[in-house]
Amino acid sequence: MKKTLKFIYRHTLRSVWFGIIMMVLIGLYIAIGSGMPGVRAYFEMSDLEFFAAWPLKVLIALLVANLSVVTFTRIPLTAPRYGVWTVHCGIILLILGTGVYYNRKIEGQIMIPVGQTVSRYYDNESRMLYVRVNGRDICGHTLPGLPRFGTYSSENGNADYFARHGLTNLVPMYRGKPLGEMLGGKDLAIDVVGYYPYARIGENFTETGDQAGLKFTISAPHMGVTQTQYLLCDDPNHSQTIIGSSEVRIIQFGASEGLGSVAESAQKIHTLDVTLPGFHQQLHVTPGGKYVLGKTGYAITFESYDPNWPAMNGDHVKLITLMVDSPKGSFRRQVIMGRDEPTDWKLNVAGSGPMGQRQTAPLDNDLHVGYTFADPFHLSPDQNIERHTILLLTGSKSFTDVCVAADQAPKVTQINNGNGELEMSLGTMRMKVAVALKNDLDFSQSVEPVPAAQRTREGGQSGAFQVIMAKVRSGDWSKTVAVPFTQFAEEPGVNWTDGEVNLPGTSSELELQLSNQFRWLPATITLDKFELVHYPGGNDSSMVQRDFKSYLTIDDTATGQFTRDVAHMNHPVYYANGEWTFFQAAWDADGQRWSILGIGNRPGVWTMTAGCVMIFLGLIYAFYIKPIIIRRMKVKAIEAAKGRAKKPAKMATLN
Amino acid sequence: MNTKKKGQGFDNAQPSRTRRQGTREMRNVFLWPRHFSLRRAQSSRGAGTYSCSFMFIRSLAFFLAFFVFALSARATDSFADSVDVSQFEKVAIQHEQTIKTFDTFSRQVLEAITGRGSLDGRPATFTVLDMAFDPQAYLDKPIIKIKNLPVRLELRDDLVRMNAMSQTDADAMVRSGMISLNTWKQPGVVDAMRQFVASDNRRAQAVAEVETAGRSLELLGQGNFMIFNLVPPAFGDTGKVWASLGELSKKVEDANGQAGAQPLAGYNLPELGKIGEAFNSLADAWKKHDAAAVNTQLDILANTLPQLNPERYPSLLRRQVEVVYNHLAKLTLPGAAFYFVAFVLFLMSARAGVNGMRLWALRFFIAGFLIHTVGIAVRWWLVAGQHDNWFDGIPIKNEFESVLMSAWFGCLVGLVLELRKSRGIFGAAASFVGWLALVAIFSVPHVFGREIGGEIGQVNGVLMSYWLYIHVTMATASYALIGMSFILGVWWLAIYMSQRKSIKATGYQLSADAADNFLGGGTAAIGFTQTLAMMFFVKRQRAATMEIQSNGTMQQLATLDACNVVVLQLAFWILGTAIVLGAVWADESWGRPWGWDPKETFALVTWIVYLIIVHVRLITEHKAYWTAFLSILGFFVMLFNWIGVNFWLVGLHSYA
Repeated sequence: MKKTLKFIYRHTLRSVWFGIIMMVLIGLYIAIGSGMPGVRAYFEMSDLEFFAAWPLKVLIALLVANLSVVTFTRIPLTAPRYGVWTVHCGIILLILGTGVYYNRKIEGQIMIPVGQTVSRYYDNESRMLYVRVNGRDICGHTLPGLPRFGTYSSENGNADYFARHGLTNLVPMYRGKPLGEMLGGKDLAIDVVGYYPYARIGENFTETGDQAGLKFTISAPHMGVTQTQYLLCDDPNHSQTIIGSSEVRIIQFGASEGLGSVAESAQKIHTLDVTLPGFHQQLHVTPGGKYVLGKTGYAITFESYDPNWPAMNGDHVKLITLMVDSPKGSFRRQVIMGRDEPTDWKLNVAGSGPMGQRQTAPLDNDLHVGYTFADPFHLSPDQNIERHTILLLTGSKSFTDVCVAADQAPKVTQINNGNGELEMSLGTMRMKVAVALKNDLDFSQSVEPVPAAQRTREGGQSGAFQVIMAKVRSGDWSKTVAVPFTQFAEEPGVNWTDGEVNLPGTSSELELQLSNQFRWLPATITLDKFELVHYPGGNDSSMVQRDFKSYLTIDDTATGQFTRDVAHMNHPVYYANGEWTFFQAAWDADGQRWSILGIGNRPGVWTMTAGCVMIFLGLIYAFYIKPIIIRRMKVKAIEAAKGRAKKPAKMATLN
Repeated sequence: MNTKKKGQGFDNAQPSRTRRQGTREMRNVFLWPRHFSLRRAQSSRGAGTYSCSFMFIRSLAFFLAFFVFALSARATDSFADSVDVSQFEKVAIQHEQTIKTFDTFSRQVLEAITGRGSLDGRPATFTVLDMAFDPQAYLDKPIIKIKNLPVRLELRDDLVRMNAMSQTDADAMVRSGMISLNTWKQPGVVDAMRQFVASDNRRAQAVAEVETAGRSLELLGQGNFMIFNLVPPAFGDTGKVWASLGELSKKVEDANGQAGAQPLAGYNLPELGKIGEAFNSLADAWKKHDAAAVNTQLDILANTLPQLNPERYPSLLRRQVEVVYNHLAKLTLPGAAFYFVAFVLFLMSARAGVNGMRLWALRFFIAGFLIHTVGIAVRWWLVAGQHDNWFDGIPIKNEFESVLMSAWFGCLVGLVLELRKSRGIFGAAASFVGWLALVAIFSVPHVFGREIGGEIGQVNGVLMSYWLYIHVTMATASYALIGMSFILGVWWLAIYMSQRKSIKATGYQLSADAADNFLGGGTAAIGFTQTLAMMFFVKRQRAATMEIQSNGTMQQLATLDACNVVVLQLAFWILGTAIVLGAVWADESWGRPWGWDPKETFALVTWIVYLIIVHVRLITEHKAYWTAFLSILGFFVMLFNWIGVNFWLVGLHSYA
């Protein structure tokens, strides 16, 4: 027995060959883990998970054991061997540091809008199912066993994965109580029944259900387009769409009174407050209209309206263009909502543009025009396109279309028998769209995996295209919804899409969303300013940029101390004596409205550094100083041998 | 008119003849050492020589192919031949946040359109000017490159179906990948292609690139000269933004009628007027193909533009150097030529032990190294000009520069070792690395159609860190050393395999230890760094360096192994240090020292391979055999890490 153990010991822990085999295996393991992502994907492990898995831990533990035994038993601690000893001790130290590091390591991200403060960040490695109740309260449930790479669904025949990995019967907790209790004592649970790593949520309408809505049939034969689109009356998520290049929206009314006031308000969107010496009038104007101002000899034509005019200071303002005919002549005037000073344009000046020649001072100081915009029903478009608002009366077959455009008078079309035609714009052209009132619509969602050729690496890495199918259960009732992934789900201003469930028998609406798990920051962080630095001659849209700077205020809520610092490229902000790092990770490419900080910690970093320094010094000693020492010893040995009995020295033993 | 010049034999494609000539030349080169080798012992000649000779021929064939490639056909055209852009191509322009010469700018524009830096063998500046002033001439020329093969095939079918192209022309289009703007703009083509690529990102990108190329071609024709940022900042303007003539004239137009407006305050108005006039005259003359007038106006422009603000304009010397540097293929091919000759001579001298030949090899090697050094120095100087300081200009920020630097470090170490050791072995390995690297960075954009940063420009701000210099310098230096060790490993194995039967020695006697004992005390194991160690740490003893006689395969194998150990030790600790310093940088930049990123991981795998070599040498008898074998393996792991991880995987799918 003792003999066998000794034999094993000599051929494992005390054997250099054994150590070499361990090195080979470790090299192979990490090469496969990094170079063959398919292997990791098969085991549903992210790279961090794969490199924290037990086989690698076992291999490294065996290597450390072997290294320690071999060093102690086989390498004498003599001057030529100091290098090897240092290197081996350094390696053990490095591995210990790495162990500490990977046990306590955290990597996350947080998006901060400029001027806002955050107290949470989102862990890159762990995901969570967020549930929002009636648009307000949020609770969540972590999903530690959720796969990453493969598609799992009942159609694929591998949906049992979820039960095996604890992803069924999830009960989200809200303030320490199950969510169902908060919703009136119901039992509420969620099962994950499908996972798609890279998919889109498709929306399908069919004429087989019982929902009321409108069907639009767009046919433009010369363009080869025939298409149908649907809007639902009762579903706020599907009551507006874009057809051609027009916005279309449904508003449903219970009684006919409200209906008339909406159509009427379309005429009162733009109001002018006109003052001339001895004359004052408030006018509701519509694009294209011409208005004679009493007996002053003045007349105003409302040429066009721009909802999004870029002003000098970078704001976008509402601006109208008027043509003024006065006894002194005609000119154009532009007025911005809520501002007094107009911009006038002189007509018929040689070399000027189609608007005329821009003036720095008003051409007519007698005429004052104030402009106000009022659109309580949001009939007017936010862009330079037209907007149709379709007004429906519950139970009636007739409906009304109110079309408001930037450069045309509002148009009201009445459709009486539930079938009719509307004119809409398609780019610069007009097209006829057949519209029909339907009572048999049905809406469903489907998950459509994105074909491999259409996927992008960034899309895959960010996880933005993950979709899970979640089955919400309460008693006998259940409903399955597709839940997409949204980064930073719980931050204010982040929009959720899809994943809505209406609980039967209550007025509660649940919204489900997949995101990374949030964690609390050690301090709150405020983004005071974000700055993009270009190279000379560059601009915001240049391909390469010199630097991105986030000016941060870090407020330690416990002590009340706050510090200001700038996180920019190659310059993270260290917090709590370097235990945490906040570094510049990404930014808003259009508008610089927010910045994304990476959050990391680095326990064990000094142990690892010490290990590396020891390895370096040891290597230099072993490679370059040891040969010199050996040579000196040889020379001494030879001289000693000569001096003794002129016996030849045993040189080989010194090597 | 017969204007054929010398060397035009390459032009008219006669591959068979060229190849045959090349082979004869190669045979001559190769036969050469045999005369010398007559003096050598019989035993060291044999199959090993043939293995090496196979390598010679392969390398030489590649080398010649690149030269043939560089000398492309040049059509005759009297106007084009008479226009002299040699002054105008030195004009400075701001483009992509970089101040560069018009020559560099034109090369980049052409590269984006045609995939090559020049067209019909004419100066890039001429072609870009011609595209701007005579756009009609380019509408039907197949000059837009389509990089994706499936896109070409689909395009061929579409064009033939639409009767827009004959089957033969369409097949030619698939082979060359070139299409004309007019063909591309045929009604329906772009829509059909967009539909075809909608389901595939790579194809979509290829089509988007073609569309961008078409747009730049159109923009050149329409925007004419008004769009080039040729005008330096005005006097008193501390900003660094250059303007185009179009912008300036728009400023004037906008200010029209506004009292007291001075849209061009600070500009030298008389000179600006002169430039405007010259451009107009140039456009007229160009349309009339009046070469004399064109040359006059080009010279006026070249002389007047710097006068707009001489203080802010790059110096003539800088611009001249940049143009010459461009014309000399950024000094890659000239350096490669010398390295190659040195490699062949080193190899022969190491085999034959001829000292005179080694001296010549050394001369060629030093000449190549000097050209290489000048190439780096010039680049550094030019890039530093963009940053106002020397430090930010260190040329190691993109693939082109890192390979250039890596090879330089490798060659420097090789040179030092070679000068100390007088063996020819270090020299051969280093000159091979230098030659391979310089040829690779010259040819990659042509062969793979992928830009690696050869033109001077700006890089992403994350790279503007001193860590970059430390980390990348060390990493690439270790790569060059790994390349040298690969060559030595292959060399050792080639000799060993070919003469295995005649060797009556144990493995131990073929390794560095044998050389060590044979030489009486570690001659071969003393490297440059050891010398430093002796100088600083240990009292210098009598250096026991005894010349080894190259009189037997056994000793030669032992010496090769000894050389390999020196290189390997350097590669091992330098790579290790590079990994650790990379982790320090990653900690600063990405917030974590180690994240199992593929690049990190494979650097570690490479290091583990060398770690294994160190330990295998301790316990096997056949040390040299294992070392040679593993250093070849290590080289391929390194290559995968360097190129495979961020180049090869991508390049595989771009059909060029």
